[in-house]
Amino acid sequence: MATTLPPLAMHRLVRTAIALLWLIIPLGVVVWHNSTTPFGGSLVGALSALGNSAWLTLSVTLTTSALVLLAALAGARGRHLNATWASFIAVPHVAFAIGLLWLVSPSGWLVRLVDGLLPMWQGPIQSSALSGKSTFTLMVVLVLKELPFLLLMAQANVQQMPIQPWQQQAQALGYSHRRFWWLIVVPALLKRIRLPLYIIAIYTVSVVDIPLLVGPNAPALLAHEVYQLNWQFTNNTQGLVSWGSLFLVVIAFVSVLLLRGLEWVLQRWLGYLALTGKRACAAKSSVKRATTPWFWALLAMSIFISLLLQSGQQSWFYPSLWPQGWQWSRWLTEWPYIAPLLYNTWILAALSATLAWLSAIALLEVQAQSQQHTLNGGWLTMLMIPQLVLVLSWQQTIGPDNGFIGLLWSHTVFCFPYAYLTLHGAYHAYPRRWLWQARSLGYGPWAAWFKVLVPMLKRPLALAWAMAFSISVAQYLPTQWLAPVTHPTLTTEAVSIASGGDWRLGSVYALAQWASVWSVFMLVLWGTRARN
Amino acid sequence: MVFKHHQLVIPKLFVAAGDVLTLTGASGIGKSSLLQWILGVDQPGVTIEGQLTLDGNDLGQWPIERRQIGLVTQQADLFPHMTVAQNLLFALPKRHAHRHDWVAQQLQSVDLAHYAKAYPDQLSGGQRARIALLRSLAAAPRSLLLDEPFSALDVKLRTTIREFTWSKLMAANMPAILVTHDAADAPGKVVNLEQYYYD
Repeated sequence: MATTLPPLAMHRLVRTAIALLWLIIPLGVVVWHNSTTPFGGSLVGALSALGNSAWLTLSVTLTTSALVLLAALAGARGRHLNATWASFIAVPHVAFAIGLLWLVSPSGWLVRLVDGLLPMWQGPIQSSALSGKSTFTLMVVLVLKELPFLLLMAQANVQQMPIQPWQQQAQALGYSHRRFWWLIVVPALLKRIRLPLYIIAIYTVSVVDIPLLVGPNAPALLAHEVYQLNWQFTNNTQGLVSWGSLFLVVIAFVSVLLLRGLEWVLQRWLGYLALTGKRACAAKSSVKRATTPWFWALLAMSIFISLLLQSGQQSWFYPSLWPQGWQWSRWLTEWPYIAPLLYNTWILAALSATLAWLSAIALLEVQAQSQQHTLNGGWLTMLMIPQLVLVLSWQQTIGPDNGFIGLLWSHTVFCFPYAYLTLHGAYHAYPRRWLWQARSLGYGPWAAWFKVLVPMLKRPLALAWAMAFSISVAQYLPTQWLAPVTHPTLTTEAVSIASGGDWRLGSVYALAQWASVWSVFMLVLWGTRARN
Repeated sequence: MVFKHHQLVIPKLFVAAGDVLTLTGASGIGKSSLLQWILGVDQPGVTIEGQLTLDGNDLGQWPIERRQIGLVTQQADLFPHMTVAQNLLFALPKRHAHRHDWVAQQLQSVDLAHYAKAYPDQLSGGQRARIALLRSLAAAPRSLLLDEPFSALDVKLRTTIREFTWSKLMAANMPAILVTHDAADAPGKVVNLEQYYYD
């Protein structure tokens, strides 16, 4: 019996090679390193030194994840986010944080705007939850940055559900659209977005660059604390680093368990409400409005303009809405420093995105040929482990500044699961009969694939590459720990500069970082636009 | 053919050039699986043993593209990123002389000449069905598989397209296999697969 692309043995080879490169070897290094390195210090000592940070991390993770989940569940029934909005998700976290902080800080742009509109307002806010660096600011940044990702995942799942017939049945039984959504769709949706929600939670557990910019310092988040301890090479701090890594894994595990518990409670509660027979309509949700594309467009635009003004201002004192003096020459004087960083960032991102993308396509093709259409969470394992724990083990095994190949490999390890996740839905929804048609007309498997599948899936394919590219551009920890001297990138420099307090220069680097990702997304969207 | 919950044990079936063998049977019995096996498509979860010969050649190990078996389906499966003319050109062998003239002539023969630059989503169901058949025949297949090609059409159109299909097949003088739920579709011998069904 003839096969479509490669035979069964080739399928196994492809799966094994991909698993080895992006899953087994990276995980194997972590397991080997942690099983052969003794923990320094005691558990009690580590708990007293890092306990507060651990609790803070757990609280922030659970609060932001729960908020993002509820907003996504409410917002997924709004207008569908399309590919253009995928580019918003790809705005690097660092650029987002730097821009947002200027927008919402106590003497920031929004406060100045209110000041200008309300004459009775008295000066900048003296004490604000949204002060420069605080837990609240951190959570606002994380919620606003993670929500579009979960929204997109939720809406992609909603599109695969038979919403219309369900709705017709529910409305025929007298239920309002809102009640139908929460009692019928949400219980089904909760299960489907479990994995992306866990990815968000584990990202929050391990994120370092955002807390460096906007997070609290005393106590800092655990990953932030461990990151700083790792720069101090004493026996005591290295012991704390090991314990801190273990705590991060435990927090990640506990967070996932508690989020699973939250899902269970929500399911039970919605199940109970569904059996009451109550058909009344709840008050109109403001969350839905907040998750419409316009909100995100306005937010992205405000952050972009905020960064742009910051990058060109010379003096900008409160309460002036616009800078009093300009210094656009900053861009020119910085260019000699930015240019090599741009080169490093682009080369690294292009290569790692291409490797991750090709691997994801090969895996999806093999899975499609084997008719394994469900998303296999195993391939997302690297997103389910705190990044700091992984990178720390790699750094301590292969050493810092070990060359470009190690750095490229580490970036690809994180780009691959995103490329796989982004492309999975479209690739498996693609009807294979198109390929049979082409082959029945005399085309070989590769010719059929390139001439029929590729043109039909060009946009999802290109978006998956762009997503992988943006993931690489946004990587902070792998670059900072594996090649900080030989291959600094825009992200590592933007964090270094902005965390030092120079927001004007930080904005220049943040904009360059944003522009790198944005230009790729725009190019992809323009290059794959549908015919009219 | 061994499926998850049943099997089909089909004796020798023969289709002569110019004939159409019609396969019927309940949904899920394996009609489409049988067609896919003939076409050469891998089907995980279905074990198939048997021999398939065409013009005296054992096709068992041949890949799809070498078998020269055309396929027409209910969805027509015209490539959406290609125009009508491009769909036909895609199917036409490279060695064919006067490719563009041939396509124009074929479109003229079915009154669709002015749709050459249209995309499949701009055609009606009947127009798509006609182009799908023309495209399959353009590749000069040695046999044709028809997987419920008329079931998406309304009654009036169904009769027209059916007659169009049989006339084209008769002219091409090749063996064809039709899968359908509607016995009225069958132009010749009908085989009900339910007689070969075993639990």
